[in-house]
Formats: sequence, C-alpha cells, structure tokens
Amino acid sequence: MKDFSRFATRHLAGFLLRGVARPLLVAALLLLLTAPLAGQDGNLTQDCVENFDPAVDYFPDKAALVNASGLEIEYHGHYKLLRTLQPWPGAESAVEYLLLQCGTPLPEGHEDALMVEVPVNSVISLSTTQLPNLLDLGQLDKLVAVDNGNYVNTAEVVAMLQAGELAEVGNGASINVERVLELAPDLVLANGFNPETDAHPVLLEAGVFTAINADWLEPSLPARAEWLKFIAAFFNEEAAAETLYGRLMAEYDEAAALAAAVPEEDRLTVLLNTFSPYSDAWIIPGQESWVGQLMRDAGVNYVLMDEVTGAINQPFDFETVYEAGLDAPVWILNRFLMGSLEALLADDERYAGFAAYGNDAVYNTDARTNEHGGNDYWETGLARPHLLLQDLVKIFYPELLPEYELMFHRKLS
Amino acid sequence: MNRALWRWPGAALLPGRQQSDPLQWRRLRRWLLQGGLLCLVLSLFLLSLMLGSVTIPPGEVLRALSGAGASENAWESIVLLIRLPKALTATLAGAALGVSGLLMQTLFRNPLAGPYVLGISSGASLGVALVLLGTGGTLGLTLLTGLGPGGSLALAGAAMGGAALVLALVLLVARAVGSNMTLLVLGVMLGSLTSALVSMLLYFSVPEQIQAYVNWSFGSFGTVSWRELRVMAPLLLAGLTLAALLAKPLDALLPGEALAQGLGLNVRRARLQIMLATAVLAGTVTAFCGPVGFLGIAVPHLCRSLAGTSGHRTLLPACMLGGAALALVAALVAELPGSNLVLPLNAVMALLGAPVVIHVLLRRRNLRRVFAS
Repeated sequence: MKDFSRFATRHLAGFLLRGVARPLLVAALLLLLTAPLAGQDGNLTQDCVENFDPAVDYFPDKAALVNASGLEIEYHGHYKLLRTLQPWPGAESAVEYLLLQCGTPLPEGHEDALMVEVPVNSVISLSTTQLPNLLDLGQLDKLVAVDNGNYVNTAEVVAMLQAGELAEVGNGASINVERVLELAPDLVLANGFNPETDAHPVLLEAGVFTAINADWLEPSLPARAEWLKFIAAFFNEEAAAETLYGRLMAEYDEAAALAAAVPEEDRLTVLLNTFSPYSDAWIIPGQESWVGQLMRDAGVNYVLMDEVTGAINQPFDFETVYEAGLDAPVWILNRFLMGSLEALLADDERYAGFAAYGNDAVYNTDARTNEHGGNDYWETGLARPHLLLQDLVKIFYPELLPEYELMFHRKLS
Repeated sequence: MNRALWRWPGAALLPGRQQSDPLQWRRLRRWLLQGGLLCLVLSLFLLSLMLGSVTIPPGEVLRALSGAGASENAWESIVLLIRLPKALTATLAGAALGVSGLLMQTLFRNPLAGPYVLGISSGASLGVALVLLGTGGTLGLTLLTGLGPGGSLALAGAAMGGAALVLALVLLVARAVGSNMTLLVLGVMLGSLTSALVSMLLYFSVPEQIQAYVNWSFGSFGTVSWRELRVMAPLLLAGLTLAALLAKPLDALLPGEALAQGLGLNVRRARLQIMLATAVLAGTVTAFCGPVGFLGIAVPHLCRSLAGTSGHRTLLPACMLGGAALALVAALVAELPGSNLVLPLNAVMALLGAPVVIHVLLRRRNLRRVFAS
C-alpha cells in the first residue's frame, strides 16, 4: 500500500508535469502571443494583424499633442489620419496621410488617400534633424538612406555610413530618384520648402510614399521637438515617443524654472549674432521666434528685442546694434566655424568695441561641428531642446547649474 | 545787354539744347558739370556722415570728426569707425567702378560692356567661393581652409587672386588675338566657366556656407573697416591714376581700332594698359565690397549724356565723380536713415539707377552716335 502510494504519487507528479504542465505552458504562451489580436496591450511595433476584428482598437497607445501646432493625429481603430497642417511656408492647404495598420483593410471613402501601411519597415530621412528621433525611437535599423552623409553628426548614423549600410540620395531638386526607387523604402521623411523645387512631388509621382515633416515651421523649440510623435506614428511607437517627450520637457521646464527665478534686477541683457557673414546686416531674432523664446526661457533679455516683437527676424544696421549692444555683458554668436577671438577680429576689427569681447564672454554655437561643416546644434540640439536651454542657463547664470558642462556652445578665447 | 549772359548757367547742362556759341558753352558746360558733380559728391559724403540709423546731432558728428570727442562714446565710434570708412569706401568704389565701366565701353565700343566683362568679377567670385565654400572639404579643396574662413583680408586676397588669374588668361589671349570682339566673347566664356565651378561648390555646401556666399554677392560697403581700407584705398588710387593717364589713347580708340592705328596709336599697348587699369579697379572693389553691379554700366551712360561729349578728358573725371555720387546715394538709401533696417546694396543700386539710365537713354538716343562703327 505504502509502495503503491509512493508509486502513485511519483507517477501522478510525473504525469502532471509532463502531461498537463507542458500543454498548459504551450497554451499560455499561445495565448500571450495572440493576445494583441483580441486585447489591446500596446501598439503592434513589429507585426501585422492576422485576423482583423473591426471592433478592436489596434492603437491603444496614442500620441497626445501638447505643444505642436502644425500637426494633427486622429485615431480610428485600425488606421490613423496624420495631418501636416502647413507643409511648406505659404501652403494653402494641409496634407493628410492615412497610416493603415498592416493586415487590416483600407477603410471606405479613403481610396484616394496618401496611404502607407504601418509599422513601416524601411525609411529614408532627407533631413539630419530627424536622425536623433529615429535613434531615440530605436528605429535606426530601419533607416536605409540619408540625403547627404557628410553633415550627419549622430554617432550611430555616422557608424552606419562608414560601414556602408546607408545610401545617400540627395535632396530637393537634386534628389536621385532612381536610387530611391531602387531602395524602395516604405517611407521617405522630407521637409517642404517649395513644391516647385522640392523632392516630394517627384517621389510621390514615382509611387514612393513621402511624408512632409514641417517641424521647422513651429514657432518654438518645445513644439518643434514634439514632431518626434509624427515620426513615431509611422512605427506605431507612440508609447515610446510620449515617454521620451515627457522626460525631455520635464528637463526643459526645470531649467526654465531655474532661470525664471532670477530676480528682475539680476537679469542680463545679452547680445545675439554678428554681422551675417559678409553683409551689412545684423540679424536680430524676433521675440516670438524660437531663438527669442529660447533666450527668454533662459532668463535673459537681448539687445534690440523691443524692436522685434513678432516671430520674424529682422536685419539691423551695424551702427544701431553697435550703440545698443556696446555694454552687453555676454555675446552669443551664431557664426559658422568661428572658433577664436582672433578670428572674430579678423572678420571685423570693430567687434573689439563690445564689452562682451573685453569680458571674455563671447560664445559660439558651433562646438559640435563635424569635419564637413555639419553642426550638431541643428541636429541633436533641435531634437533635444532641453540641452540647448541648459547650455544657455549655464552660460548666463553658471551658479544655477554648477555641475553642467556646455555641449553645443563654446567660449571663444 | 547780351541776353545769353543772363541765361541760367544750369541751362547749359540741359541735354539737347543748341547754344549760340557752341564752343564757349560746351566748355562752360563741362566746367559746370565737373564742379557740380564735385559739390554733389562732397555734400553726399557729409550727408552720409550725418545720417544713419542712430540719430546723432550734426554738431556731435563734427566734434567727433574734429577729434574733440562726442558727448557719447558710442557716437564717436559710430562716426569714426562705422560711418567714415563706409563713406570713404563708397566714394572710392563708386569712382573705380564708374571709370572701369567707361574704359571697357570704350575699349570694346559696346554700350553693354561694364567693369566685369573681362570675367574679373567671376574670377573673384571663384576665389571667394573657394574660401567660403571649399571649407566643406567635399571636393578636397581643404587647402584654402588654412586662411581661416573668418578673415576678411584673406577673403579679399582670394578674390584678388581669382580675378588676377582670369585676367592673366585674358591678357595672354589678348596678345595672341587681334580682335576686341574675340576678347569680349572670351570674357563671357570665362565668366560662365567660373560660375559653373561656383555652382558646383554651392551644390556641395552646407546652408551656412551658402548663406555667407549669397551675402557676399549682395555687395556691401559697410563691411570694410579701416584695416581693409588701408589696403584697398592705395590700390584704387593707383588704378584711378593709371586710368586718368589714359585719356588720349581712349579718345584715339573711339572711332575704332583701325583708325586709331592710323593715328599712330600703339593699339596693343593701349589695350593692355586699359585692361590692367580695369582689372585693378574692378578686382579691388569686388574683393572688398563684393560684386557691386550696375554702377559700372550706368555711370558712363549718365555722364556721357550730361557732358554731351564722348571725350575722355571730360568723361574720366565725370565718371569718377558720378560713380562716387551714385554709390554714396545707394549706400545712404540702403541704410534707410532713421530706420533700423538695412537693404541689400546691389538691389538698391539697380532700383535707383535703372530708371534714371532708361530715362536718359530715351531722351538722348545718342548711343548710336557714340558706338557707331
């Protein structure tokens, strides 16, 4: 009896282990794998839908726009409508893209839409500004080409270029359409400047889905950086984009709050820019332009800002700037490859008259420029505006960020 | 009483009117013209010291100029470091372009010729493009980056180098070929060649570089500071002196090369001298102020109409003064005194000058007479 019970226990255990647990485990795994079909744990970032169910919301992770004003995203169960409201300056109407979850049918009434199935598997970026976004979203493995590799700063993309994994296709009027067709990407991310000379009409005509990223038309850096969600929508990576953007803005707001706490009487009035190279004009950014807003977020006023209240930058005559900026304690240049005070004077000896020059407080935005002249300020900097803001706060009020080290600005000496 | 004596002296300047004593009137008219132009240049020069975006009382401007010191430090610097060099640059550059335009129109006997027909500005553009755009290194043109892209003197040096290179080519060919027309076509061809190279460079450049190049091509008198003026002024004065000595051969060339040869002129030597003077003048201006266009073509036409002669003893000084005056006006207008704005110089110059030239040409219809072959 004892023997039998021992035998039975052992065999029962064995039976249970082998006969019941294994199928159960397999069933559980199967359930897990097919869960997205029935439930909605998250967006499908890799796969397509196998059994379409019109009742299911295939995009449980949605983008919620807070700052971007030129972008709209609408979710409809198995497809999204993405709208670039002003695709290029002076555009008369918005462009709408239909992003269809792959494996689901095209919705009725949208037969003529500019349609692409998502998640896309291959992408060409015609602007370096989008590369940090693709990196942050973990989609660099889907990048097949860039416009011109020389101006890329994002290290991971440079490595891919050096390894020969990326093609270069040019941009605008000089785009190599044949090369693009050969690469046959699911998606081309382009900027719109003027449809007469841009690449996108040609590409669309050739049957290549091309979406216009109009981030650069946004009036502020936080709004501009939010176009990360535009790119994320093509990869169903809304969840990641929301997290990334939330984190970035938290840091931005924190730095802005530090600067905002500077008492009015301690606020600096700084000098911006130089003669725009080899011309008579000195460009002062408008208060509502992204530079103007960035400066105000960094807790400073700038020379002649009261003359430019709008978003438009305005050229000023040298003597006006000279009179107004003579005593400004800090000077932020935005000059291509201007690395020393000596070079600054070689350009125009009259710059020496400015107090900022005497104070040794002249900074340029070209600290991270690669050997071909591509400046990371316009790539990583614009994608991560909190770093630009922290840079400026550090320059203007170093005691507020004692540990921080300048990234995009360098002090001329 | 002789009624003619009571006539308003300015009437002599009015075009197209027959006078009772042609020789005497013509002489008076020329003196009046030169005197009037000189007064115009002087008053425009003073005006451009007085007017600007920043309002400075005239008394303070004079105090700054006399070395007594203005009541505000910034004002003194603005007058002495910004307005004065700019006014001097405009005066010299305007004179240089006016004269070199005249030289080229006479040499080629072509009303469309200007200081840049020899390809000088294209050569200068190429030099500048190599410095401003070559830094990308895309075409392996990194050898010029050592100059430092910021150095304005280095930039001027490169422009002069480019202009000299093109000029040397043209002169070389000029020795070999007899015809001025061939030279003219050659200049145009060289210009096309260099601008093609510049397009190539632009194509491979980043926006910052392209912007710098475009800005340079707008032309400007305001970027020349004393340091550059110290190099530019002697070169221009030398060029102007050389040109002033060429009145006789220029007059001889007017009826055509064959006749000039018959008059005993060494045509080949005269041609080389004229081209050299033009190259120094136009090359220097382009190097320091960018390719300031229009003025060089317009001023000789204006002066020819006002002077009522195509003799170079009158036209050379008239073109110097007329060029200087037009340049000063354009620089003043580009700055829009009283406002903070500043407009591109080349655009202002053409906007101001083209209607004037058209008006004068339509009234005079003397092109055919001057340039008849």
